[in-house]
Amino acid sequence: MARRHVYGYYALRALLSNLCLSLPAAAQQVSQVLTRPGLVEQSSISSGDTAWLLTSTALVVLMTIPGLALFYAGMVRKKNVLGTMAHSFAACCVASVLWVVVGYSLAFTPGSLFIGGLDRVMLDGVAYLKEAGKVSIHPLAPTVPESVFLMFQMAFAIITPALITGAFAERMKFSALLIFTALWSLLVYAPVAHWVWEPGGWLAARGVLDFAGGTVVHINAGVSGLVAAVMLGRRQGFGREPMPPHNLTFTVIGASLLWVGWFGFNAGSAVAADGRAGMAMLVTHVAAAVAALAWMAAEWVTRRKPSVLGIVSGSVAGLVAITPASGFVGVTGALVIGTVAGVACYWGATSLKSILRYDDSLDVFGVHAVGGVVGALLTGVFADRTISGVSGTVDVQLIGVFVTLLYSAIATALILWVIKMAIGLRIAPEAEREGLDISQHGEQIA
Amino acid sequence: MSAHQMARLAELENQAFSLMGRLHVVLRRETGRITDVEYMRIDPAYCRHLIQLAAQTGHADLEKIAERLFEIYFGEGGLFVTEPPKPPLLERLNNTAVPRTVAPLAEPAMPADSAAPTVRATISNVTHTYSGDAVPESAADPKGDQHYVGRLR
Repeated sequence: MARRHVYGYYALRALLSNLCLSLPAAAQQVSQVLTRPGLVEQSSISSGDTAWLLTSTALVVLMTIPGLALFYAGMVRKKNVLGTMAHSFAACCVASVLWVVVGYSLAFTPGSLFIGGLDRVMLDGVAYLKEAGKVSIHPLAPTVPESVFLMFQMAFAIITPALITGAFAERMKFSALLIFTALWSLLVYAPVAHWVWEPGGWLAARGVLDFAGGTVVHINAGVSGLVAAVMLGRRQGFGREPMPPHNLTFTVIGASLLWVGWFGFNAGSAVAADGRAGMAMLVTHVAAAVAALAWMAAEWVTRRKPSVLGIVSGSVAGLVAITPASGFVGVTGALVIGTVAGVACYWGATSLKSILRYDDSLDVFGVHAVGGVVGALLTGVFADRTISGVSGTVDVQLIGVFVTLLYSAIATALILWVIKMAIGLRIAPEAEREGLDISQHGEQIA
Repeated sequence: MSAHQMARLAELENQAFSLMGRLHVVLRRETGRITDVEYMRIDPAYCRHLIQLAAQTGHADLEKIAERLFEIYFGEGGLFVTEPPKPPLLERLNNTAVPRTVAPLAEPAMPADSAAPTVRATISNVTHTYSGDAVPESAADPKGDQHYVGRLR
């Protein structure tokens, strides 16, 4: 393998070593007892598990492009459709590059309680040695090649910042968005993923359960979206003039792609083609369906009509809420989680938003943060030892939720403040009137 | 919007009405197609469709009318390009209607001098309400559009 260690890397590693020295002794001890990614015999790889994780990876990438891109693009005004799709596409590109450069290493290698090491910077050590019959694996997925595992995790790192873009849709500078995505991926996503998913992370060590990303992905993205929406301010004319969605057909297609892609998101998180993956897929589907019905019923009762946007939003709410629980709960848990999520997210996206008067354009907070919190807490209630071998408690889950909300909000605010000082966050008023498509990209749809 | 621009738009609107009237008559005579002039004025998609229809008939007059209408509505600085379509006429009249007050029968007739200021004030209000696009904000948004005001879901 080509030598990738450059001076900057050494400097960064030295800096991190110094930081680690200042951490509590407990942190150092936890790191030392962990198994690191390393080389194993090719024969220990399961072709079934690998095939399923490859498929799941494709499904999760499909969730962002085109799933999320269509879901969001259908809900914005016509003049912002291309710009909104570009947000998801660009987030995919930025997050992918950063993930292989340093993100994966920071999130998924043992380092300290709070951040991973730099062992896998530029994917150093990720190998497939055909002649020697060796392949590197990650301890979290010992039966699949590390290249597949890191790619699967990359898909999560892609969709999380892409989710946030819905909160500030129709008003953020494209340049600011690119910088925000890069900084947020490294300073918010990677640390939180390390806390919750890497066995040496401090929330994982406390027993916080998050099977597929209710905390890491959805609460994280939801609260960041709220902070971003508040810091950018409301769109021109918000609350005074109608802002009709361009094409809800796009949104229905996008939501359907999200639903199918979520099978990879949740069942893929079992990192094996086994019974637990099957249960995860089953409860994912059940929760999505019941949440769509719950949202629909709530809307039917309160507004006399079940909107199509409401039904698809309900399914997404159910998918969000079952995410942390999917490998831990049975069908009963899924039914309850889906029902509660459908009603709670309906409240979050309508009443809560009206009360607080923030302009979260596409209800990222109302659906992802509220749904994520519902799912995370109810995982503590419904986690079934017979499915996963572990049981949860609500108080431990509450710690995970609270810490993520707090850290994500503060770090996002700081990142946005720095970008605002440097290049500004918001497009000019006349550019906003003209729309993102023309003002930011010089294009428009007919 | 400056007074000059408003005058230009008003002139274009007049021309458009005249052309749409002719389009209605000629199209009906030549093809039997009935058009809705008011709906053409408020719905760009319908307007564009009829313009295309007229242009494809091969009739010389219709082609000229279609060409001119296209310029007025969709050309550079056209009516649909510079500002969003206005709500239907009846809706605008309903929104801007002054509440009718009926004088009680028993009330003695007012002397001419004292009634004059009231009449003048009423006319002034109506004139003010109808001046250009200055529709009161509360009346500008018809009830159907409130669905997407301040909320998506």
